[in-house]
Amino acid sequence: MYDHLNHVQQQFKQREIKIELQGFKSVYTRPGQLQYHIEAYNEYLLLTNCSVLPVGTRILSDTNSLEVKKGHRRIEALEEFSGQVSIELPRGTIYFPIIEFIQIVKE
Amino acid sequence: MSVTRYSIVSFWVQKPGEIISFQHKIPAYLKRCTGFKLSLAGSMDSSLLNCEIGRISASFNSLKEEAITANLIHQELEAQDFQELAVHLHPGQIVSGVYVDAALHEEFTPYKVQLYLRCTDKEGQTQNQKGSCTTT
Repeated sequence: MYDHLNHVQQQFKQREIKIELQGFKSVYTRPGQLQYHIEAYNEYLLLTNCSVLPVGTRILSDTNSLEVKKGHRRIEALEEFSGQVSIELPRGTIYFPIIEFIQIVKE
Repeated sequence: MSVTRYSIVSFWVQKPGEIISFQHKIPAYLKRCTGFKLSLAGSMDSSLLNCEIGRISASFNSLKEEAITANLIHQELEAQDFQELAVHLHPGQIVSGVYVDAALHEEFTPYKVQLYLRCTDKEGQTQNQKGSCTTT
């Protein structure tokens, strides 16, 4: 188990990106809605709870995209998204999670 | 005399909606990337001509510079050309990115995508100062 926040600080330092604000952002999903759109322009959203998302969930952004597979339940790595972020839950899902991100606003 | 080298990142898209991540290292002696081209290798249904096939994003210098966001459109060969890029390369660092297939149709045929990166060993070179060209 590694410390997510420590990892974020170290990696952004390596990438020479200065952090103006480090916070959290959550997306509350609900029955009857499968698509969600959030804006993350000039900032980064790092997905922290990939392991609880329904298999087949797709998160698409201007800089990265991800489709949740069974193997993701065991992965602790943080996926990073930026720009326009679209979240698509799989059709037929009966589970509507809260999707949690670490939000990094850069200088 | 400067040289221009074309680094190629290629991958197969095997199913509709597939998301493919890639990492690539550009040889350390190359100093700048001046252009890129995204193309389809092989044939594709003519009904998809001028349609968006997928979307790519890529960053340079180990995630330090987001430099490419582009759509792959099924076009006639002569319509394709390099798009300008002006990235100063740090030696030995990673180019990484992701490709997302945009297929919405039922009939899907696997296809190969090639991302050409045009790079040079000369610092501060402009588009009009190309040297000899070799594919690596």
